[in-house]
Amino acid sequence: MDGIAVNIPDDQLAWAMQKLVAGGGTGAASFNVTPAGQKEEDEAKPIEYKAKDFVVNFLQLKEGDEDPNKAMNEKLKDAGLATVWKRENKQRAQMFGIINTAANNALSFPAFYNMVKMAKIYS
Amino acid sequence: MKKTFEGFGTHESDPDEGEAEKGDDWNAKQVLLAVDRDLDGKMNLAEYLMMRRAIIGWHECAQETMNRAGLRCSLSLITNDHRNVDQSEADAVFLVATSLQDNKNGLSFPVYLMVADLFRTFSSFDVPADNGYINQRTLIRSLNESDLPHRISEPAAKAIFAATGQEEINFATFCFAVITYNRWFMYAQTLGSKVFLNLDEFLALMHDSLVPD
Repeated sequence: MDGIAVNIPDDQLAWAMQKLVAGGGTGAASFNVTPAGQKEEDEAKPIEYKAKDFVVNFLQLKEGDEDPNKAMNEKLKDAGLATVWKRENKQRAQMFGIINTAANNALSFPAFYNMVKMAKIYS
Repeated sequence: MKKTFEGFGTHESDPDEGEAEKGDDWNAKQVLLAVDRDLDGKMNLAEYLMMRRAIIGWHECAQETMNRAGLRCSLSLITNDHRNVDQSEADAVFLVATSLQDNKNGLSFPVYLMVADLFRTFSSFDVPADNGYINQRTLIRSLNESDLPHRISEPAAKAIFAATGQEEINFATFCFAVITYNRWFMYAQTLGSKVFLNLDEFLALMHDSLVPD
């Protein structure tokens, strides 16, 4: 039961707690629960996309545009790790698409491990 | 001397930027990569002692590179109880080690250092490296009970068994999985994504010298 997450609206939860506590003893009669305030609507502002947000590879970059991977490459270089190239192999990107079965651009370790294992067997 | 520190080779070079040159600190970087169990980019006392022990093994049993017979000799020095290591065990370790470097005839020191440490961990479970298997429960229990530092953590052990989908793994799978997980972890940790990698991060990882092409 501890692992089950249930989404109960605040007002229903307050009502249920009042009922539970009121029936539990005399001291509970004065117990009062105030529903939590609703979240402000301002938080749900629509995201404003710009044309740059849809740049998917270097061919779509214009002259003077900063390399989108510059910050990432600097971090990797500082740690002595390999960096992403300006022009990557298309096959590797396709491989990513195949193993990322959830298609959410978030690759898990098991998926990566099995890809490397298969590549090693194949080679 | 050049072959001794050949190590794991270089990362794949970007053709647009040309071949990356090996700097003066190449040897040190290769040794640090091999000895860094906790992946913090530094050498602590336990790692230093491990390296010293490996140097003794190398000094006693190797020339410019290490062959199969030399590896058997040095692995006996590496294990905590200095037990007698069979040649078949040394051959299994040699096979794993040569898959990490270009030279298939003899091991370079950094590769030997990393694989010897993995052998030390695996043999601490009282399992032979040539035909022994360990399961997840034994591995995690032994890691928790052991006072010795290892290059595998409990979350890593769970991730590895989830990835392999096997109840038990042998020495070769153990080495391959631990090295792959540690490289994965390094990239994820450096880029702050912790668990998952996006396409660009994946492409960078694929250029790593420890990830097979």
